[in-house]
Amino acid sequence: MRRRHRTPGGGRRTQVGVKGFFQVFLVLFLLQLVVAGGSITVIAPTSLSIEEVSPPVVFQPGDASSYIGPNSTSAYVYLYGSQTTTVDVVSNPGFTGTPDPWFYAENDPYGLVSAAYDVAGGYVYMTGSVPAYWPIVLAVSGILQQVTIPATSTVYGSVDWAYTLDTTLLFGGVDLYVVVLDANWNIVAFQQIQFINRNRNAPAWRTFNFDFSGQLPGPGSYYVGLLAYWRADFITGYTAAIYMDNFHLYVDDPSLYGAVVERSAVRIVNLHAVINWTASLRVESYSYSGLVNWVNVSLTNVLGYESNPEISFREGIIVSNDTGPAQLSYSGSINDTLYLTVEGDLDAPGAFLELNMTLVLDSGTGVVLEYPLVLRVEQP
Amino acid sequence: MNVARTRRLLFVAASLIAVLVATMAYASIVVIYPLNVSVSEVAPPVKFQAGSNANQTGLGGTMTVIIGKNQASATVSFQVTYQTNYIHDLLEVVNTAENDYYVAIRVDTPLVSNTGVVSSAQLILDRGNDNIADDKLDLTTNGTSTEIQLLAGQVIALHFNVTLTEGRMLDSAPLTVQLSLLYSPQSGGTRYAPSP
Repeated sequence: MRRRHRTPGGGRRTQVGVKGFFQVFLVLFLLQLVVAGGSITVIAPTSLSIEEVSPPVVFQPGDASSYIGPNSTSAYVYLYGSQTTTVDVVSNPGFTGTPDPWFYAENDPYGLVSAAYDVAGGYVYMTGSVPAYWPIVLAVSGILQQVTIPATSTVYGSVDWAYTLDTTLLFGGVDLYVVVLDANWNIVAFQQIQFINRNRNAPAWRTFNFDFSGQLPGPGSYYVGLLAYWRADFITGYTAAIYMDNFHLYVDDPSLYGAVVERSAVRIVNLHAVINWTASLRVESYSYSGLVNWVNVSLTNVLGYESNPEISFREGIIVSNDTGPAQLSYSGSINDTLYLTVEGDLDAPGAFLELNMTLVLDSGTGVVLEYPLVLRVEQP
Repeated sequence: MNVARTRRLLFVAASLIAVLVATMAYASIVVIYPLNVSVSEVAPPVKFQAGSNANQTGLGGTMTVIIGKNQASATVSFQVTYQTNYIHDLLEVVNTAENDYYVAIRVDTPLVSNTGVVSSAQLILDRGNDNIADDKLDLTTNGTSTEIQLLAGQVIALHFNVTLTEGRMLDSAPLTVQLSLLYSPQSGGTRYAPSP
């Protein structure tokens, strides 16, 4: 300012400059007031209360190997591709009526033996009453079932058996075998279970394991089961009964190698007393190795309804990454359940697919829960 | 020497007198400007309202939403469990004015879990209730959301996303959070809100 005073002719201009300066200052001051007036801020309080409760829906183990989290809100499920397929020749309870074609009898012109199901006991049996002084072999009878054996490299199994015999014999008795007959009733493989010639008034069940691996001429249709030779005794007659239960036959099936079929890999159970949930699965990420042909994952209810679409993996690509909705109802006193259903085909040892998924549970009332679920499908 | 000394004394005395006079003069000046303050009471232009899922069935009972008489306060309670919990549209903020407002939510007292079971807790601001988050506010720490422009008649739905760590104990008592809804007709105005 002092310099401006000393500028020639500047005194007058300086007077004007100071006045202008104050005018500008005043305008800015008023403008600031206006701006400050626009910064009205209103504060409204909001209070939030969050209560922590136990899970209303939980994972529970199914038929697959699994690790369930400590609060049952996470699960790691392992599934393995098949090495063999099991043919269950004799289903236990529930069969009624004539046993044929399970029963086969031959060389029994006198009708000495017969076969029947014991529905209440859940087993099948054949009985025979053989008189004394008859030829060595009076009858051949069996409890057989026709099966298709796709490969003969691995054919093995087990059978529970028992008998009753009303007397002790010297020479006669029942020679009991587990057999494989071809479609023309020719015996192609057999293993003796026991020669029965000691009395036993009450059946005592025992398990006989057998192995016909490599003994069958080739894949095809066969009859498998128990075969009995009823032999007469020179001294006295007898009455015997042969019982069979839990016949299992394990056969390699190349076409089913690596197959995965599990309807209840893990269970999802609604414990809530009011809410009917809508459940769905979503893939978050996945990894795989080896030849994994395909894997499908869905949610199934007790009535067999499957979520549609399914999670679908095809040859290295997730084709569909979430399931459709499945209902997990509240059904009064019964806890409704959904089942993780997995089907697939892996073609090489060591092949695996691991899906990191989220189980999404929607209450329909504004609550959505998300549980992590990992599924690993592997071919040993 | 005496002359010089006398001058110094005179100079000091004159300075003291000048300062004294000046002080007395300034202290005695009083200027009075008239200032009229007029305060108008109006209905709140931005209000709370119950969301579509208010007072619906939750995990352990009803998810309660209580709106103040003038829709200028709200109390919300709901239940959560292990893993991820989304609570949709319990509470909404609506602009009932004819002009835009700028809205933010502030965490005044954050959520504290004594057991450490809460791994995350968020408030989701969803303008238009179209399930597209405009901002997410961490409820476990003090902070303020970004300011969201709310057009006349527009709604912000408030969702909650709470995750509890499986394997930890649940807290025995409900957890509480104190929030403030801030709004201003001026962009950036919410920053002038005084601290809680």
